[in-house]
Amino acid sequence: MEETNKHMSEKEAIEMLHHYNDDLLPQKFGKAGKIWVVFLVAVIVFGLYNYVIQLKKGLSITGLSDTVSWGIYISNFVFFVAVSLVGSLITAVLNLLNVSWRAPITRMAEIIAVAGIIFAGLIIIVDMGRPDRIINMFIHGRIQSPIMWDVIVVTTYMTISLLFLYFPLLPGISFCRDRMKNIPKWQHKMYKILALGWNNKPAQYKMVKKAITILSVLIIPVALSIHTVTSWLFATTYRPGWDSTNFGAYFVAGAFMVGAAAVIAGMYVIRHFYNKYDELITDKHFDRMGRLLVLLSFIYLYFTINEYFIPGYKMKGDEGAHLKELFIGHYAPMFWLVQIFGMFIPIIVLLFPQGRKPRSIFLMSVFVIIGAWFKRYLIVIPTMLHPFLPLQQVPESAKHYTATLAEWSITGASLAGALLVITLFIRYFPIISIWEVAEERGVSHYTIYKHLNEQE
Amino acid sequence: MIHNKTYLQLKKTKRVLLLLSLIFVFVARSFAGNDGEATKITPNFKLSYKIIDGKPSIKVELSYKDGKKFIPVNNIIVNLYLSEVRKFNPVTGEGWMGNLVTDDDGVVEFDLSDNFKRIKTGAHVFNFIASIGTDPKFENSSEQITVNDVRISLSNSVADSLTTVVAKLSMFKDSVESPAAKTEIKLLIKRTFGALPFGEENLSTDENGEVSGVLPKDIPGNNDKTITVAARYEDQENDGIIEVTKRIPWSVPPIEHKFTKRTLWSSGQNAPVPLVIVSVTIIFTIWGIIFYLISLLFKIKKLR
Repeated sequence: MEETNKHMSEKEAIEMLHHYNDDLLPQKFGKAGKIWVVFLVAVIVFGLYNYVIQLKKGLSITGLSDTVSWGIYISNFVFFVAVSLVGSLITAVLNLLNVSWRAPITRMAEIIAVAGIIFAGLIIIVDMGRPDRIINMFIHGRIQSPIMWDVIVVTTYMTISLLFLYFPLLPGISFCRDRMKNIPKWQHKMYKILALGWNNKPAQYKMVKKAITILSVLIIPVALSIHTVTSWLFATTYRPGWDSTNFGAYFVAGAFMVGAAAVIAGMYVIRHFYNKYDELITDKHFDRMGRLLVLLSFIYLYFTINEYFIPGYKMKGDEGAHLKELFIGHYAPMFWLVQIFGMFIPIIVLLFPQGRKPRSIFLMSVFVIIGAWFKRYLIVIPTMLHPFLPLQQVPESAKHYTATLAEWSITGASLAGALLVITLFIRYFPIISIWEVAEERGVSHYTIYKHLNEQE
Repeated sequence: MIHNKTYLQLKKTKRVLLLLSLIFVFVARSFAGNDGEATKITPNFKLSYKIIDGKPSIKVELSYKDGKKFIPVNNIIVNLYLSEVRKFNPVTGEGWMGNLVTDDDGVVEFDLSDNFKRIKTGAHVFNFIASIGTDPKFENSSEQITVNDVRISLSNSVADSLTTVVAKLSMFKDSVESPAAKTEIKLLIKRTFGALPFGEENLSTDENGEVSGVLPKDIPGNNDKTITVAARYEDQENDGIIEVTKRIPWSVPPIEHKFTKRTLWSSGQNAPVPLVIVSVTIIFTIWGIIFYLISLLFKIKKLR
């Protein structure tokens, strides 16, 4: 802890800034980075190709039916909303609590939140058979409908997240504008426009800090709302597995957990590819994030027990049939793998200091993320297959749901799209907010930018 | 000697070839035999017809029995023929009428509105044949239905502010159209999701082939100041329905159900007031702050 939050003298701060120098600027990708981008683009192109077919032929190319009208598109939507919640956790909650080691990872959290919420909004449009009719939501929208609440809250959260990313980024963009010389014209122009004429004036910093404080307060209720409302999309529907008063808190707890895991994974990747960043994102950061993740996992475990234990104790009617399907039926392997790898193993491993070392915590975070995706699958699909009204006189195909290749490719494209947004952000913008890091260490922004902009 | 040896060799080769041919034929036959022995299912046909306002259609339902259950035969091609199973004859309009694939419920419905116009036989009884073609699971089979040329005419008259509807039924006997007496006809008022019977119960035609019924005075009509009445003849023998509808002037307007209560299940305009106030307040507060933050960006720009 001391290593990350110790206060510096002005001399030490200048030395630090000179030490990092151009390392703080976004850098061109190496071979691995280029291959990664090509891979993501290929996945997106394949998904887009299938989406064009879906637009032409409708949802008939998916495995969706009258019985399972919400499939992997919706479970993917819930996953994206969950991941996007991390922006509020790391940036806002830790900021308001004045946690002193948060600065190097805040931007990573913010861009994950932005990418997540953008693709949550897009995937919900993909789920619509007729996306051209989305305008009707606004023309004939009913404020009584949770779907309307979701549209409002997703749009609001997206705007707030973008602002939360943009305000602290302003000094960084101006840094890129002033220091990056051998770059294409368009890139320089982009920095020039986005920097909003930033020239390190104290009044500008004052406004940025004011905006961050307002956003930190504002984003928390909105972030809680977005995932609570998403849970209400299910909980306001009278169906086995969804008819729960626990759902709002359960979804929020799960979202914080997967969001924290996503940030840890991002931290590890950044540190792996940018050599000097291990001095800023230290093992202590992984340890702190590991502790946070284990705390959030315990909270999620508590809600999971509440969600399944009591209905499982009673096993009443259709609810019992649904739970049986999860516990020992068709979905049991997925259900237990999700619990074991997505929760129990990470909790046990992260309880020990050795488990919170970068490599093992990265592995546990990947487990949590994959587990979280399949957890959303388990929330959506098995319930849809257990309506209260018995499935009579329906074709056999309506009693099962198997996502088609088109669905998988479109879903894959959305995940690749979110990763591409994060990747391109890292390519063109500073992923570590050095002025926040220095301020965290007690150095004024005046000192930071006075020396940050001078050449060695 | 050499010649003799060659002859013997040839004879031996011939025998081997003959033996191999026999083996091949036997194997081929036994395979063919196995295929042929695979028992195919004979599907059940259920044919019915409808002629609504002169537009005929034939419905074919296919199923097969599995234990005690009837399973629909879906995704199978059903051909429809008139009079005989043959190619379409443009001269008489008989033969192949078309084909369709059964849906998930094992049902196809042939709309014969256009095809019927091509029939030039002058007949008044039509035999339609529905058949399925070659299928690995189902036996080639067919079923037929007889459609009678039954005609219904509807007329109405108003006397003493009462509207009476008269339906006249005629059938063909030896190509001569004559009124059908003592035949049951239903008089109906068409509604959005069904039809209301009116007039006396179990109405049967008189010797002129006519039935009549008085429309209830207070029954709501259509938006365009008409009411749609219908006369229906049910051909029990051939599982068919022949119906004729007519719109007649009517002065009783439709009842408009205006649900104006403010509830969670009302339209958007009738949302509960507290919900509107709370949600609008939250939305305006949050978006007000967002716009303020955006204005800060402009202020930052001005400070350069």
